[in-house]
Amino acid sequence: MTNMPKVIKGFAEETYTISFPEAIEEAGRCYLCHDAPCSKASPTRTDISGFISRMRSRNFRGALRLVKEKNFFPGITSRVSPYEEQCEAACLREKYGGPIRIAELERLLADYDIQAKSPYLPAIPENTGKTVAVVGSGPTGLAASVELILNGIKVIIYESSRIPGGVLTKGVPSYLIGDRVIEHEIGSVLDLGVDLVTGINVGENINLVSLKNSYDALLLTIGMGKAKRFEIPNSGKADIFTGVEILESLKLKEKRLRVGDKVVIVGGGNVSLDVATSMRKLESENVTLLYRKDREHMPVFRKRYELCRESGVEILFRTVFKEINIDSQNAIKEVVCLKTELKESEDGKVSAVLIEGSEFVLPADTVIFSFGQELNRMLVDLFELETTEYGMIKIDPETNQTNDPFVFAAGSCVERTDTIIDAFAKGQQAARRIVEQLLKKA
Amino acid sequence: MEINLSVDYCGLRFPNPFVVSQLPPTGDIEIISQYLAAGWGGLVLQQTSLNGEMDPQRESVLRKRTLYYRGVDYEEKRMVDLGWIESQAPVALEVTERVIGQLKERFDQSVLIASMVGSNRDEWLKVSRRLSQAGADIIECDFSVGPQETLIADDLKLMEKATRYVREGARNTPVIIKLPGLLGDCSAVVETLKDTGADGLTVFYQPKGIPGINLSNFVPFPNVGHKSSLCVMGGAATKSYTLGMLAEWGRVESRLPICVLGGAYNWRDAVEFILMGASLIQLHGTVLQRGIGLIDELKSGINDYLDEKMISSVDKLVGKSLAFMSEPDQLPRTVRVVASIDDKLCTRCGNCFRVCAGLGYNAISLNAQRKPTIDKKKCVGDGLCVAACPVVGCMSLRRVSK
Repeated sequence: MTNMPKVIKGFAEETYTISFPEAIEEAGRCYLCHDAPCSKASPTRTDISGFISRMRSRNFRGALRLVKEKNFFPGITSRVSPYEEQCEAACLREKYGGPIRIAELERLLADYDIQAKSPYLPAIPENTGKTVAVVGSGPTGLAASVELILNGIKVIIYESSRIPGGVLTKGVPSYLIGDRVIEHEIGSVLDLGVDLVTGINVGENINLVSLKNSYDALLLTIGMGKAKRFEIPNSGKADIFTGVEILESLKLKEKRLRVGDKVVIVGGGNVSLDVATSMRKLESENVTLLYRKDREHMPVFRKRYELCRESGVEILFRTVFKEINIDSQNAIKEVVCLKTELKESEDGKVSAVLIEGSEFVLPADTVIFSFGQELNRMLVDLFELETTEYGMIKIDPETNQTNDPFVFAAGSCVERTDTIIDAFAKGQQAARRIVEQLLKKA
Repeated sequence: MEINLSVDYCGLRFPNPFVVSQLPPTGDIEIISQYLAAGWGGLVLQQTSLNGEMDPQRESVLRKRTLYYRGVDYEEKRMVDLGWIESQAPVALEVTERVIGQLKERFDQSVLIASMVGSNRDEWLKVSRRLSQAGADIIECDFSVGPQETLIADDLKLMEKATRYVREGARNTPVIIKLPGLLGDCSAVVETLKDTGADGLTVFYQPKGIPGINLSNFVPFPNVGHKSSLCVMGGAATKSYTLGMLAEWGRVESRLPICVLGGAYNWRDAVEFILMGASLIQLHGTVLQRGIGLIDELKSGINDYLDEKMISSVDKLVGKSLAFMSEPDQLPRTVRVVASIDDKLCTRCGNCFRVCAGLGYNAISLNAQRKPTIDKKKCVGDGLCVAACPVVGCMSLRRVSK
């Protein structure tokens, strides 16, 4: 039996927006701490008590300006980054009445900018005569571009797909961030004067020599574009997807996405949770997620986990995927799973060990693999870049330079980057280092 | 413990010290009745004059007499202060006589204070006599107004004259004089008023204010047709000024019982005013904001406070704090106090550190975990850190034993 295609209309944003009177009251709770710990816990070092203090005296433009000086994408980060595990976790009001709802206050400011007649646009300093090409327009590339252009360096972004944004436009479900927010904040990067070229594969369409002739440096922020999956023999037409594929087709509102009512998702990261939640929102009846360890080992955000559980997803812990049984019509019949037991090594690391003979069967019509992504090696190989044992681009941790000093790299293609705000912060940092390098030479 | 909330004022016993001040502005007798029924200690009626409004409920009169209010907000806190433009339009004697008559029929136990203004012998004599005959329990004569833009209160001779006539007209009814804040020589004023027969004082903090300005069109608040005017201010923010004024009146040796108007927001403020020498507290803005039922909260607050302090009556509180006042150069500065922190309550916010460093004393340091420590040798005991600490009860000043 073939699954009925589900028509995707895209999800409406469900993020709660704090009201103005509530925000003023919340801002009033802030202790305006000396050397505030919230700012230190913020990956972008946003001056949080500073912007809250400005909100208190009703200086909203000033508050937004202060936020944007450190984080050009507050609408995005305040919606998807786990502030409750970062700046809010450091908030000293925790002791009395709970932490300040920093994400909600910042979000209000970001939304205020979207509605403003003249959105915030910082002054661009005089051009230094330097130009940097950035490859990839995900969070790291965007944040790096902002930092570069604000330091007087001309920027051109090369994006291989039709639309810019990387994970922002292809991976983050719309119920978390509405399209208007992403459009506004990516748009504001372009408003700064950053050039964007889409549909270009650097390496294939432009070679390294011509890049070196045209630019002063190259920054790779290509992310981990390729989803890992198990190769299932004879599964040609069966409904097997990767989590990344699913999120992308949801995001791009592709007309047909064939998912059934018995969905099994393999993997326990944030992407897996988002996919599972999305499936429930598409009214797939039984959505089951398999994870090899326990809840506390899942590398996920608390809020995303809660959202997933609330949507009605069933999570089987200490369970791994073994194989898929496919019927004669090439349709998935069931998934065979195995139970695991957890072993703690001497250094405290917990690993899942398969239990022999613990096979059991889950009825399924759709299987989604979502247990990690890997580097798209095409460009790396063309540029002859060295990679690490974990399959990431190898850089000098002090300078972000690869083995080719012309080529810099940052973000999830060089190191584990858990949150979007981390990705932004890493882009900023790499850009600062490039600025240092380029202006030192001059 | 049985607590007696009643207070003696000018020989009259008020069931409690909380008096409603000239509310509602419309003089609506039904609303006044509700205040009295709810248990307020007393009520000051609309100001009366010989040639006042005969029909204060008429629409054109109401419009003319309307008070324009504007709250003062401080950041997230609403209405920390309240200002209103008052129109000087007293009601006619006949109106007040009728109101007193009707109220006395229904509430023979309630204390009614009739407030009056006058500007010549005839008015002072006639109004006070007829208010007294109508059954007013106390006659309050307002000296914060006067003929031709001057204040009676500014002229000791005029005060003496006016008091004498009001006293004469009021016969056996107690007379209290309403004075705007501090006057040049408080002792001379009290002596004069006492000698001419005044039984008590109503004092209020006089300076007027502007609650704010609309930053988009530059027009001050409150305004009517883009015109504003100075306001009477009352509310939590004016409390400290009222308290200071009471302390100054408290220095006068020859005493008249004091009724204070303005600046009391809750029972704590009222208790502070009583401790600083007031016997009665007139409330206006807070009553408007919180409603008639506020009296229950006030009574309960002062009752529980007295119970906890093992003090049996409000009378015993009056003026208790006056003895602790001194001149700045007579403070016993050799007594050393130092700041102290209740570590269990501390949030590690660092506000105490910031203010101490800002003053240059550097008596507070934060360790790597942000825990504040006070260097008792460096601490001068000025108390700014106690004020800056956002947690109630966390910081205090402690006396250092030698």
